[in-house]
Amino acid sequence: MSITIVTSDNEQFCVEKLVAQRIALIEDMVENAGDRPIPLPNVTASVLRKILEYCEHHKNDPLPPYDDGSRSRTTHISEWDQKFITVDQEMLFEIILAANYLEMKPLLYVRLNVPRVQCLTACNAVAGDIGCKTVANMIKGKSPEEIRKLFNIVNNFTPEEEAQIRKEAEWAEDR
Amino acid sequence: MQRPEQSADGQMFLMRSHIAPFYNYSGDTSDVDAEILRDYNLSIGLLADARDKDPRRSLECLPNELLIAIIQHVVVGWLESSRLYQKLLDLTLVNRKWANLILKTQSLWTRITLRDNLEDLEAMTAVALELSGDCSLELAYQVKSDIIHKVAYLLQPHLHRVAHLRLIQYYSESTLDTDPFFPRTIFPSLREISTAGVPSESVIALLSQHEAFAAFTNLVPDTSFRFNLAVKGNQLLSIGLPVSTMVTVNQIVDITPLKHVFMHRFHSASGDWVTELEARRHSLGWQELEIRQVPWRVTCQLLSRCTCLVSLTLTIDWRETPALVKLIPRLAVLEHIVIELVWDTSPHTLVISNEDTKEETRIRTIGLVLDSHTSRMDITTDILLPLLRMSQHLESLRLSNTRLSKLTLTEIDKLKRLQKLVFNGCEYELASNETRHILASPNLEIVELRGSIDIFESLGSTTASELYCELMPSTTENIPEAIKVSEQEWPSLSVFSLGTGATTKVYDIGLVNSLERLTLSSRSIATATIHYLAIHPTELPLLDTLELYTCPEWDILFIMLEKRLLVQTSNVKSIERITFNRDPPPTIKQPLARLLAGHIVSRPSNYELSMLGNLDAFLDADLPGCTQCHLYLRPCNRPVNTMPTIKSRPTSIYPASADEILRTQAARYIQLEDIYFPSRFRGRSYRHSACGGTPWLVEVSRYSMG
Repeated sequence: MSITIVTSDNEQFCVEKLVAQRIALIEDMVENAGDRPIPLPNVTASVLRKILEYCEHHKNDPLPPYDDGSRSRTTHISEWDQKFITVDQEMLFEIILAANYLEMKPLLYVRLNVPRVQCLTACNAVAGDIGCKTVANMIKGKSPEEIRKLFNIVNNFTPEEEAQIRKEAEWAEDR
Repeated sequence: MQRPEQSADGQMFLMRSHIAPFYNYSGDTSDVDAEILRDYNLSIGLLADARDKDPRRSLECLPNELLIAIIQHVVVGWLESSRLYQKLLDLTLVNRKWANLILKTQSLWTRITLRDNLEDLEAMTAVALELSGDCSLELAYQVKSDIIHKVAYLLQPHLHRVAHLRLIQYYSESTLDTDPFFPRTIFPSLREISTAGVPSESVIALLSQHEAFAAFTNLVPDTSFRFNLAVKGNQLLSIGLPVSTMVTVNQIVDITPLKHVFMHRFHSASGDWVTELEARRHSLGWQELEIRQVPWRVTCQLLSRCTCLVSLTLTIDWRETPALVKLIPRLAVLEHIVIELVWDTSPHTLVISNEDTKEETRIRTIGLVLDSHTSRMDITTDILLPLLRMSQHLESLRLSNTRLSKLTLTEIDKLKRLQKLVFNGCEYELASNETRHILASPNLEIVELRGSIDIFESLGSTTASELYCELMPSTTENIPEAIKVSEQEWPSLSVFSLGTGATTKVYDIGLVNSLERLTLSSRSIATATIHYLAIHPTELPLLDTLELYTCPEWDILFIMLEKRLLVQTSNVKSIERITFNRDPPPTIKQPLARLLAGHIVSRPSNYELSMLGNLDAFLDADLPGCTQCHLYLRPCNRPVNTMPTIKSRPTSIYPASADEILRTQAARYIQLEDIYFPSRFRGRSYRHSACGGTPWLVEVSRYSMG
């Protein structure tokens, strides 16, 4: 059985129901929609294509366990997920936004293969959002200036403000 | 049709072809036509600007809750660092939005770990207490230490928020008689406590004052070993303690809400283990159990009552393995198991019947650890083979200190879902007529090898994309001449991490061309690899990320990067980012960032960057600094140990040409390592090896340009 999804740029996708149900938002809408196409006004065709690629690959995965955030997380992303998320920066942000809009926990939360007992210090059974984690990995080891350049962030501190903050947080600088 | 960026890349390639013949890799670009060089660097800058300024690349497009989720992921990597809050404050300098979000997200500031007596301890603690608002706090400190006395006045108004308390007491280091809080203070919100080295009477005094914990004072062991409790409401959810008698075990069994139990037998205790586990009918709802050295009879009885166990770690005598193998299938929801085997008697092989291994389990991860003091044994038929046969869902396998056989590897090959394989301290030697074993699990992604270099030379995988190796020669005579990763043995590899022991051995390097990320964590191997890439700039054409957890030889690194950039082969990617284990000085970082961005500009000369060129500063007893900081050309304030005494300085003159520098590098490296790290060879050192600061990973890329 399949359902039809219509993207913001008016492209139609005929999707196997098992695959579409990985997307929480669609799963909720399917029951009310009947045979009508499901509109996704906030997702473009190119992004939906990526999202569906992810859903297709993970369609038989068990849903991830609840993570209360109390345990530290591993930084590992599985090979397939790593390749999936190796996209240009524009697409990376679009995937993160779409996953957020589509309430895609299976995309946002990926179950990993290392149990807590195996490596008590670092490796736990649950990893976080692969999109956010990818961006986090890009931030690590960079100075504020480098982060601004990498992510095209405008420095809206006045020079006086920045000098003041640096002075106040002087002990935050490398010594 | 050609895309614009392809066309631009083509133009850049063409421009570089005009530059390459005139640049001699000396750091001085004056022989290159100034106009061509200017146009080229300008074009590189414009291209980068056009790409970087695209609004779709801006992180500003993400809503605040996602930005916070990202920052939380960043912070995860800093949790154990005493510089956690300095780094977090550093992130507030990005812009106003980041500052507002970080400073207003209280949950980012709730961990108060008072471990190091830092200069800014009070200021840092005050900031965290203020910014954590009303959130519950996790407080960890050393009992009776100077540190806790120094910040007690700051903590006092916030004690009602402490939910997690971690206390450590080092008798030898405690200089004060009393602690400002422990054990008399009441923490109204306390839900979790863990202690280490704290006398039991003090722990009892603390628990008895807290309603949620008062009922459990009878569980506090006589010894001041590690102890922890966690409650939800008034129900005990987690306990970890040494046990010395059956009385304690029976007490634990009686606590029905428990989910996480960690118990180990206290060795010096000669308690009563004869008493039976009390015959209660209820099953145990434990989801996680770590049980070490408890008599097998008791372990077995406990396990037979566990109906919800997901994760099991146990230490048992090797003779109990047949019984354990029979028992495991009865743990219906077990997913993770770690077994540590110890020998009280001389070991011999136990063969387990195939009848015991027919049942399938849900096990996803297995760890098998042999006592490292015991000579390595092949445990394939004892326990490994039956475990693997009942674990068809296995995704991760870790073997430690075992001897591997062909049979072991053949059984591992049958695991269709295996993604990760770790051999830690294992031994495997190919027979003279045997070829390298290519691991055949179809989904294998990650292989980790630690220990003997023999095992590295005996294995391969057609599917693994990540290989992490920490290798030591098995004997001093067995140091190999080469470290090679070939296409035949590792054809899918994109990530390779390699570390070797402290040695000046200059290896012959050979790496697979599919590599995209290369991590090198020992000086000898980093030196050899960078040198190899400098001589063979078209090798590893896909490599764009280099991680160096050791200081490189700067002259060779710059030559390598420049050669790679100017190589006249279009399909060789430039290296885009390099991670170091400390921040290089601006004199290196800035030219390096420009080079990684694709620019060709003047930089310090090879001699100025070289170890030889900086030897006088290193040997200057009036100039402070540890060896690591000297290698990074950024001396710290660590005083010199003793006056330097060296047998002889390198006699050769530093060559002028890059080719000659590369040709003579190996001999120079060995001579200089002997001077920079004398303790490694003669037991004497006039500089501290490192200055003790936490190594901090720093990435240098085009975004690092000032």
